[in-house]
Amino acid sequence: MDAKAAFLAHARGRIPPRMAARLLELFALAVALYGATRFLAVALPKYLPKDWAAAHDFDAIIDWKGARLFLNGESPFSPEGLAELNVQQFGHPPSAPFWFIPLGVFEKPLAAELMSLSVCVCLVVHIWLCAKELRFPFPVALTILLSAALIATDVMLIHFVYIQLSEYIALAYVIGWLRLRRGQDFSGGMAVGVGITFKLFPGLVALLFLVGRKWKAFAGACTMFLGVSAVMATTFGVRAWPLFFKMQNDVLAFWLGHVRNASLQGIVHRLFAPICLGHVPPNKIAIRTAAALGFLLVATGFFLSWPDLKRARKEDPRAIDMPFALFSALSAFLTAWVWEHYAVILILPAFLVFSQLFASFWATLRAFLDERTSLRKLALEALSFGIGFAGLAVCGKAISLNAAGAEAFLDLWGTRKDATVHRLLHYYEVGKYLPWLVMIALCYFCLIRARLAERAERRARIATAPT
Amino acid sequence: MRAPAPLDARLSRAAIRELLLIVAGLRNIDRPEPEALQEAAAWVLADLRAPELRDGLKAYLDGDAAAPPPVSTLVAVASHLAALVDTRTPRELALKRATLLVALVLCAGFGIKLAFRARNFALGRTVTASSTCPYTPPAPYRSKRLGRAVDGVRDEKTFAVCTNKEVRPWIQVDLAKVRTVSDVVVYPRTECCFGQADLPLSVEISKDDKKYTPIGTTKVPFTSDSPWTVEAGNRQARYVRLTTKTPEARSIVISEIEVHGR
Repeated sequence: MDAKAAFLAHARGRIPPRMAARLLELFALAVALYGATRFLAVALPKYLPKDWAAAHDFDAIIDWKGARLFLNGESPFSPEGLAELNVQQFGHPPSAPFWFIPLGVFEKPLAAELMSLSVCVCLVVHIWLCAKELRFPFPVALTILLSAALIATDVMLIHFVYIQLSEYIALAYVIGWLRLRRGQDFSGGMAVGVGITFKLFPGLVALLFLVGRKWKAFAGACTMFLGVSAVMATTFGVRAWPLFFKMQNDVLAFWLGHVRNASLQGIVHRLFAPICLGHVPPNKIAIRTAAALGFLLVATGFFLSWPDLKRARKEDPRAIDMPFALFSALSAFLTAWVWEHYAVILILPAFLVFSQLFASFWATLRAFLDERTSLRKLALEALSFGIGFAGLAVCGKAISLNAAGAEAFLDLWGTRKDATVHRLLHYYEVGKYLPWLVMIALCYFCLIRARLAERAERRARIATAPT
Repeated sequence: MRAPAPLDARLSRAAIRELLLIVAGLRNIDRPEPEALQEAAAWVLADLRAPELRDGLKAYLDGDAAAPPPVSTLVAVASHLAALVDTRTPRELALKRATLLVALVLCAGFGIKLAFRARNFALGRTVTASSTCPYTPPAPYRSKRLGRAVDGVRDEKTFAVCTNKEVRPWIQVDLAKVRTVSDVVVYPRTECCFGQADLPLSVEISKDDKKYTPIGTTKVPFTSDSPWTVEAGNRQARYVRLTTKTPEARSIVISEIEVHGR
């Protein structure tokens, strides 16, 4: 075949590139809509409450009640306030009700519905922002499919039924990360500060800003947290904080070693005293061991993140990606307790890990196809990507497990000492914390790879430098 | 990020010719001589399907038109030409062939699986039970109350059907006619208490609703993540019954029962 014939054979009959892209996008959208329909057909009936007036009368509704008390000039951190709320403890920080003050004007059923629906809306926005920012193909289709898949799991069902704050914190993390990688440190820090006002654990990310010398981001986080706390202190008083910590201590005895607790503290407690032997009370040695392990994880994280933090400060703000992913996951994992619904915090690290490993694999594949690199290097990159992909698949599988499994088999184990029940009890127990372990390990893996690549590059530069 | 360099709005004829030559001279044209490239540029130009692009560009290159085409035209031409030219390396072509082969094998495998998959004979069939507990959820839309057990939803909010706590309770599916059954899959309640009230659980099959043959019993609790599957060995059956044979009072609570066969 001569050159002209070869060219024309290739060119003729081809769909114009723009139309091909559009067609592919439509196909992806159709696949996503089909998948989402399949997920939602099963999941949505679970989201319909039987009794609208009493629906969602759980966890975060306490913040709405706190906001109502704030509007009436009362404090939930007082015996009178607790009596009025008819609860023993107020489980969230005094700053958390701030965000529910606008909903304080509504009656409970409407406020509860708005809060629980807002959680689902936040999830969709959260995934879309991640997909769009990291330039995943077909972000709309991906958002539809992933949102529906997560809504079909107990993670979002618990969010919706019990109104949990984790999705708000996860979204605050994503917005903070977006601002940081655009060089808008102060507003990024403020977004993380919003997360700290809901629960205190995002403070670890603020510590990352401090250690990474991102002063503006740290100042933003502090400004937001202290500002909101000051507003709430006008009514709740500063004494609300020590009372809040005291209330947390009161519930620690029951929940720290609970079978559902996926935090490092929970894992270590159950390693010291397996759950199948009975209730695990707080144990000083376990608390100290977990704290030491946590310190080690954080210190290693800072050590591995340091070059990225430096680069993010001086050259490329996007270098913050992996340190942010690691510390957002660690922030929740190192807190006293982690329940199933905290898993939404892992969405951003999952996107970042996948994006980084895939980008690296793709670049090596391109180089291999252009005959610029060896098959061995491609195989190593493929192995890295395979490890990442398998890890994310394990996380997905563990997150989709029945949330009632661990407690149900613990109850059954109380009456039937059967080997299968024992196995299933620990299977579901491990399923609770496996996503956290795997995701944090993947973040470390990505950071170690980056450091090794830098070292190899440095060596190559020295080797080729003129003598 | 660095902004892209601005494109000169007044590209000279030479520059446009250069652009065509660059695009045309890419890898699939294996004669790099200048004449061949000129010839190739002409083919590329001739291949432009949008007449306004082709004629405008040609008129300018031939000197018939004084004004150069607008930048948007040039960009459209360049992207069109770049897309038309095959720039793939031999490794890329090999990868494409391999990918196509894998996709073909996967599609064929999926098609074969789809064609030979076992059907769920229980879907939408009549369900009866020894009794119905008061907590049994209401009937789904245009369906009988116990129809939830065979509506295809394996992951109910709580459960689909439960019997009262009684001695030898049962839940039965009528498949409407005698079928060849390969296996029976039972999904338990989803929200708690797996295996607390309904073990040991047995599956029995019958052709005539009189004589039942047990095909499996479990003493092991199962969950919606790993349901209980009983191999039926392609036996003939019209009625499939879940029951417990213990003398103590038990309650059967399930989300879904599937009866597979071909």
